Amino acid sequence: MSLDTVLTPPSPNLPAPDRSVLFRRLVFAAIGLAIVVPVVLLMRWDWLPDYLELFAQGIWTSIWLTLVSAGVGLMLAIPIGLVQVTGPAPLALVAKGFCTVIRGTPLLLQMWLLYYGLGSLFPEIPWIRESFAWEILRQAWPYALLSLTLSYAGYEGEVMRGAFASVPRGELEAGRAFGMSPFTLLRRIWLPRALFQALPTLAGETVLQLKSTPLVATITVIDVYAVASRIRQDTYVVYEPLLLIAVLYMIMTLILVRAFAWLEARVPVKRG
Amino acid sequence: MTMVETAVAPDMPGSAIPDAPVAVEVRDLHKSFGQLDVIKGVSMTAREGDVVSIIGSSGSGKSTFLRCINLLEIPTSGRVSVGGEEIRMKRDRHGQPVPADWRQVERIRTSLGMVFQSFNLWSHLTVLQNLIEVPVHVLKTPRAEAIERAEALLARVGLADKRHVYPAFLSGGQQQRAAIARALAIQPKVMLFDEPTSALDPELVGEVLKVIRDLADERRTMILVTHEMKFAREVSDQVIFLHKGLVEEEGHPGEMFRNPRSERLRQFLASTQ
Repeated sequence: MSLDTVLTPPSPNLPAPDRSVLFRRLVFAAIGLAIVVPVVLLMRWDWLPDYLELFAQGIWTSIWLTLVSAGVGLMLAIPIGLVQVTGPAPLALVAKGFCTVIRGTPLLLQMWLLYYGLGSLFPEIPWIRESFAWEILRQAWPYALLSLTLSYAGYEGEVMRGAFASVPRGELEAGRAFGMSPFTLLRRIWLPRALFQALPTLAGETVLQLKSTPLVATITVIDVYAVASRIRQDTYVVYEPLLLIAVLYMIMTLILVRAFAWLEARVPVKRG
Repeated sequence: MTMVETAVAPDMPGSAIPDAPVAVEVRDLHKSFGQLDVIKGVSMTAREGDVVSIIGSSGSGKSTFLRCINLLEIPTSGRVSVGGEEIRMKRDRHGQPVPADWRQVERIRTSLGMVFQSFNLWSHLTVLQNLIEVPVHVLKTPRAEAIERAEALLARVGLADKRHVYPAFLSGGQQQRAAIARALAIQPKVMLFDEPTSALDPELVGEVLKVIRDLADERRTMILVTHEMKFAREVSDQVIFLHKGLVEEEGHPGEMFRNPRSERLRQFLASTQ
C-alpha cells in the first residue's frame, strides 16, 4: 500500500467501514452487559410492577418542571441580561442584584423560603383563602416551579448578559445603518445572535436544571426521586430504586443533550 | 445684488451632471469626541449620479464624516440633508445634539446603502437571508419579491452559488461583495462605502473594486471613503481631500491628482504612490 492511498481521506459518499469504531462499540456493549445482567439477576426487582404508574407520573413531573422552569426562566433571563448591557442604570442594578442573590444562595434554601415562608403566609390572609387562587396556592408544585424558574432566570440572566455583550458591534451597527428600529434590531439580529452564542452554555445549564429537580421532593412534590424514596419507605429496598432512577436521569439527560445539539447544528456560526 | 449672488450655493466642482437634483448635502459639519475635534467644518454636495471620493491619511476624519451622513455618528453641529430632506436635530437635557425624530433618521437610513470596512454581515443568517432581511422586515417588501431581487443581485456580484452559505464560510472578498449586494437590496438612493477594501487581502481587492466600478459606470450616486488612490482617480467625479478634519483640497480628480495645489496633498499623494 503506497503512502498516497493511506493519506487520501475516504470519499464522504462511500464511508469505508471503520473497524476500530465497531470494535470499540462491541467492547462497550460487553461492559454494559457485564453490569446489567448481574444487576437484573442478583438484585431485587419484584417491587417494580407495583410502582410503574407512580414512576410514569414522577418522570412526567421531572420533565415538565425542567422544561417549564427553563422555558419561563429563559424568558425572564433575556430582559435580565439585556438591561445589564443597555441600561438604564437603575434597572441594570436591580437585575444585577437579583442575579447576585439567586446565585449566591442555595436553591434548596430558596425553595424552602418560598414554600415554608411565603406559602405559610397565604393561609393567614382571608381574601386569598377565599379566592380561586387558593386551590393552586395550597399545593406544593407552584412553589417548586417558581423557585426552579427564578433560579434558572438568575443563572441564565448572567449568561445572557455575556451573550448580548459579545455580539459584534459591527453587526448591530449594520442593522442600525439600514434603518432598523431598536426593537427590530433586537428581535431580528441581537437576540438571535446572542441566543446562538449562548446555546452551548444553555444546554449545560438545562441539564443541571434537570438534576436540580430532585430538591422538589423536599417540599412534597412527587418527582422521580420522590418515587424512589417512597419505595424505600414502603419496602426497605434501598439501592435498586436508586440505580433505576440513575438510569432514568441519564436517559432524560441524553435526550436533552441531543435536542440542544440538534439546535446548535442549525446555525454554523463560527464562534470566536 | 451682491446679496443674491452670495446666497446662491457655489456649485461644487466636478459634478457629473451640474443641474441634477442634490442627493446628499452636508453643510459646515462639526464632530468632536469629548475634547477631540475630529471634523471641524466640512461641507459637501453630491448630486444624483455623482461619485464622490473622500481621501486623506488615517485620522483625517474621513470615516467619521461618512458615518455622520447616516447618523451612525451624531454630528456636534452642522446640517445633513438627504434627497432634499434635512435631518432634524435638537438638544437633549445635557445640551448634546440628538435627532429630533429617530423615525425620520430610520426612514432616511433606508435610502442610504452602507458598506463597511469589516463587512458586518449578519453571521447567523445565510447570504440570501442577509440580503432580504431589511427589505422584508424593515421595508415590508413581499418576501417573494425580495428573494427574486436578492437572487438577481447575487448573480450580479458573482455569488449566485453561495446564496445558502453562512458568511463565516466565505472569503473576505466574497463577504464584501455580499455586503455590497445587501446594501443594493434596499434599493438605496445613495451608496456609502467606508474603506470597502481596507480589510481585504491584496489579492481580493480587485474583485470588490470591480463590483464598485460597475456601480459607478451605471451612474449610481456613491460616496466613497478609500485608500485606493488609483481607483478614486478613475471612478470619481469629485474628490475631497480631508486633512485634520478640514477640506484641504477638492475638485475634479484629474486636475487634483495631476497638479495638487496644496503641499499636503502633494505629500499625501507621494506617500501613497
